[in-house]
Amino acid sequence: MKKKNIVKSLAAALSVVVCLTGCSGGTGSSGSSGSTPAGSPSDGSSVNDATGGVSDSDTTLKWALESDIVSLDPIYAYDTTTNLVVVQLVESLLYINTDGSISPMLASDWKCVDDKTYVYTIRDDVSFSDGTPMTVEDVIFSMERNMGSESDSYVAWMFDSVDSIEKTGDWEITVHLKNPDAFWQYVPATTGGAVISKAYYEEHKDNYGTASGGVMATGAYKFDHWTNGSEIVLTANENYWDKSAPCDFKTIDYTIITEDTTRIAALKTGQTDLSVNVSVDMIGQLADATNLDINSVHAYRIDHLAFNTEKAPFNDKNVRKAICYAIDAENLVNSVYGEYGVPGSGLLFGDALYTIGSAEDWQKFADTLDNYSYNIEKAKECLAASAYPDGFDCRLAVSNISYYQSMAVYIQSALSAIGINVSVEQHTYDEMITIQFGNMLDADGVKDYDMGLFDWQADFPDPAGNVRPILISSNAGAGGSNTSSFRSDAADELFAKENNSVDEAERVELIKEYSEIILDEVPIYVLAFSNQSFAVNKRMKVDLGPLYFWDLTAKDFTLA
Amino acid sequence: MGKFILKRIGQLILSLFIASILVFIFVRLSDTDPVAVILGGKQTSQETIQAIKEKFNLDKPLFQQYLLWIDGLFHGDLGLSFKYQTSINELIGPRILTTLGLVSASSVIALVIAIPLGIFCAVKKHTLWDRAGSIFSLILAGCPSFFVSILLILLISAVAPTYPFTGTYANFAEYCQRLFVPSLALACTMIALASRVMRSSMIDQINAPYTMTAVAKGVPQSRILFKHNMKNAVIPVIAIVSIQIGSMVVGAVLVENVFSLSGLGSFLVDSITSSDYAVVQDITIMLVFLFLVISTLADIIYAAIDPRIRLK
Repeated sequence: MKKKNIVKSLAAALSVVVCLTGCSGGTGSSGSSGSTPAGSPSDGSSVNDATGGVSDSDTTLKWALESDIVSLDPIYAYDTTTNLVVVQLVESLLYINTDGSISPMLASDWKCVDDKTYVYTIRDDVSFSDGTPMTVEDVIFSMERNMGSESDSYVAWMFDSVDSIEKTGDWEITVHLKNPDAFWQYVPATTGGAVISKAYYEEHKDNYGTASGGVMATGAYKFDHWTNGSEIVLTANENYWDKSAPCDFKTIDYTIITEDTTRIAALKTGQTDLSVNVSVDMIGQLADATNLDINSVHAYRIDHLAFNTEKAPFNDKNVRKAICYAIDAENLVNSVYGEYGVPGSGLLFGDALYTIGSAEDWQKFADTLDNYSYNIEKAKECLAASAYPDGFDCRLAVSNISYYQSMAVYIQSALSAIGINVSVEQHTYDEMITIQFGNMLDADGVKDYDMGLFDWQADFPDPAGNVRPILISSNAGAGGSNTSSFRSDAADELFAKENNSVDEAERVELIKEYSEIILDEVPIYVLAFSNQSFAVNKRMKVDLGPLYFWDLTAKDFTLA
Repeated sequence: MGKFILKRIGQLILSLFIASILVFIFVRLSDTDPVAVILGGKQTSQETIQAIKEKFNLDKPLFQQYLLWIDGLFHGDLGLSFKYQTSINELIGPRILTTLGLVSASSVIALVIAIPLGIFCAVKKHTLWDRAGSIFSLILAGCPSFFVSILLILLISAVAPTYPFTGTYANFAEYCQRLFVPSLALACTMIALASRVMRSSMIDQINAPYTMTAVAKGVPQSRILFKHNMKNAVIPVIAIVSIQIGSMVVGAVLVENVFSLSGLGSFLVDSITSSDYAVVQDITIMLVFLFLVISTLADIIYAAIDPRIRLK
């Protein structure tokens, strides 16, 4: 038997099975509805042929996730996979539009009384998905979960300047800040301003946000089930308050497909509608698909190498510099990202985040910086000046996403040239999130990695959103997003000054000032400003802004 | 025969006991603190840590923890997962169905293809057909199931784009539909191995003196082949397949991953990487149990087929 014959006979065997199972697929299961959730109750997906020939699979948004999510609890929703599940279920007080302006959501109105006082009018007609009304107490309870040093919240840093949140009217809350905060205006529009049912939380304290505990909030969808590592199913919330919002989908079925090839094949065959984190090495493989729209958004994202400055030898500035000089970032980025990313400039944000001050001015400033252009001689000099002139062994934590793997291998070979032996440690995406937020500690309570490849993107259209959260010393501990554990009094002082200022020109100058300090200390090395790409089936239309990876909801899609 | 079965069951229980101790100890040799896994590393207070230790029995001495674990196993209670903090029974239930289905379907596929192929090659020994069979097996043996899985997905998306290869299943028909292709991928190595073993052991039987006697007595060739030769030749194949089933569960990890099937294999690997040792020890002991049961059954089947084995 020749190989050709094998392929033929396999194909024949397959078609037989397709026919057989296609015929006996049971009710409502056409050939393409293999993603019908197992054991899902029929209440949410009862739209069928009776309502004008719309079948279940048409009103199901089939969403491919490249990894499992961290939690359903909004306080842990701080990565671009988890968020896009959580924001369907949970809504915030405000909402950031695609152009960067802010709209009302659960708060019908808000005003800034003075630099330190913000007043929010809460809608009185909102109910949770179980039909119980949302109260001001729920709002205050939800926001306070992010406050205080004991808080587990990944966005606790956003609440650093909050002094108190109090009820100041039947449907009004007032937020008092300790000091003016340039970011605060945006915070209620992030998951930091998300509202959950207090009563439901109290009942499910032990397993809140897990597959067994679920969540209860006000979103257009409610939680149905989550099979860890496999799928998450949400169904339309029949008690949704905003009747005017169009919603073409009765069910959202997230399938976790970790293998790139499978995800691509699923998109091409229409077995899944959408993948929002299309990695750069997948785009080329999707280009020829006639059933897909591929979008690449110029986003806020920085892909960077973080050094654990708490640990030797990375507490030595010269070691960090040596590593940066040894990496040919320009070459690496051009070969890995192609047209979907540009090499770092020395700033921690790319031109998409030149949102305050003038873009030209930022560009001029960026041009004056040297982002450690590849120079092996300088690398050797820096290493010789460090306490480790003969090199050392170290570990690099990296996610199992393929282009990150390529970068890790490149870094491994680049650093071997200066005598640094890197062992690459692969982690799943959700583990990398745990690492990024300092929750993977060794026996001494120190973050358990030497270097890591991470990405970050601001939560709102402000350049400082790409800097402060990842470098402020109050975020250096467990649960904080200061991945390099960078602690600098000089930088902290400037961070505080910049944060407390509401004068744009002053902020721009301060950002420039601390950017120079950071570039010199180089706790993190920005390799690329990369695009955020996604693929969507042509049966639907969607309009996206640069923040879509935080707040894209099914309401944003319309069936074509 | 009864005595033989009893003896094998005794050995099984002893092996399982020793394995359970080893699994329990090795899992605890890791320097990761279970409390850290349960907390997901999040900030916490001393009271929470104490409450967690009590909930997961981590405050008790190791010996007692072992007894509690074994006691739970006997009552069908697998304990709580550190990572998900839910009952492991609930987590494992649907996954067992997937992996067992995958492994048994691919064993059946492998045997159905390998045994006739082995016989065919043995009968046509040293002909062009035999060579072709060898090359076919060689290709299959050389293709890792992971690679075959990807090829199959590419093939399906080209040939039968509506055939679902992702997502879960709602009924038995969908279950079969979802598992068929992954099983095929997983079966490849086994087909190669089993058909080679079948071929050589079949050749041994064809050349055996008893076959010559039968031929001399004028017994029809098909009767010699299928009644006598095959019955004897199949014994080593059963041995190989039963030993392979254990490694197939492990091989299923990759196939499950490619086809985004939520099975035991991928769950085991996830639990190891996330240090969820409660799950690791449960799945490991289940695999050991499965492995021991299969090899015991294989021994008993041997003994039934070939009475000489009982005497050894």
